[in-house]
Amino acid sequence: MKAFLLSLVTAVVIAIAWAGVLNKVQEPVSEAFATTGVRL
Amino acid sequence: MASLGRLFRLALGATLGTWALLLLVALAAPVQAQQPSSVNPTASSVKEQQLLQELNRIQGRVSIPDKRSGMLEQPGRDWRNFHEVTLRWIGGIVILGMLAVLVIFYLTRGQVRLESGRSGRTVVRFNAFERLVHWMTATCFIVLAISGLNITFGRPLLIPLIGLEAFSDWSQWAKYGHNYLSFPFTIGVILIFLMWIAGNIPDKTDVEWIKRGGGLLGHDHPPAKHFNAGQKMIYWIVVLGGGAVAITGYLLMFPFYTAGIEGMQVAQVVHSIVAVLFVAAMLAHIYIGSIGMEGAFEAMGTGNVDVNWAKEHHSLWLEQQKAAGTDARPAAAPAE
Repeated sequence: MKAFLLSLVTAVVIAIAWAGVLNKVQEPVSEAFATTGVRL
Repeated sequence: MASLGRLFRLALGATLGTWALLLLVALAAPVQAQQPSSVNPTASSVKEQQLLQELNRIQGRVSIPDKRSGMLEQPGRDWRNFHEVTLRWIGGIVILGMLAVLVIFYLTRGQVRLESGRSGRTVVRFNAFERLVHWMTATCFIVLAISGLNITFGRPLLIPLIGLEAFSDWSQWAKYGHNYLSFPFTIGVILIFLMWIAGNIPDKTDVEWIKRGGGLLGHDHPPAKHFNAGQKMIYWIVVLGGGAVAITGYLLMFPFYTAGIEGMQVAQVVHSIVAVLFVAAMLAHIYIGSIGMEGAFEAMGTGNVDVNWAKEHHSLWLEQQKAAGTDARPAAAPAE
């Protein structure tokens, strides 16, 4: 049971860290595909 | 007077002559147009279907800095038909088909029982780290599977039941879960690959095990090492299938970083087909590891298995444990 509960905590911690990375790397569509000449 | 009449006759003649000339030109022009020409202005509408079928894409030059906007049309009808129709058929057949097979198997064969009964002594099968990695990967897989199946089947199945607003909210959270849990799942697959690669290389023991049906259909107990042939199949499905969905999934998560529109379509096709096959295979794994075989769940639950269970299902592995001096002990606390 301990191993199972620890696995859940580990998964959530890694997922939160990954969410932080994604939020830094990815942009919303309106920013990713816009340039000085085009705004979506 | 005579000159006036003469002027009138001259004017009348000129007028009539001009009209005659104009009439001649008007009659001649259509004749000119009806002559055969290399340009047929109606041709493009007649050949529109051919245009759509033969051209891979319609693109041109643009002054917008993002050159990808020059792609006017990228035919996606086949891809759309795949993910709206074909994939649903494939997914429905493999997943429901596997469920049906398992139900029929359970109703006819029943649970694989421990024929010699419990011995009261246990042997450590999986340590705490192995079980942690397995459960982290498994729980992530469950969430990824449900959220992924929602993308394919959610609209036709759930909207009639819960309505558009609730479906939208649920799908938004499911998408976040799918994207964020992909990383711990990937880490789990890599660790599983590294932890158990040594015990999952196919050998001749597996040939014998498969020939004897793994003992699934009768009461045979073919010898097996740490992992039998069935478990090795699951291992390689997890490693190779997990690797494929991970790679294609990250391509989809970072759109157009390395692939164009065709590449994204291919990634989605591979990701979805491997995923539904993966789900079907894991249903069989979950079945045999839970209700399908007495004593099996303990291997991943507490980490210890009954010695008689090990003798019946992994006799060669138990002998190795005895030789190494890490065999039976009285059934006690979990191996943590």
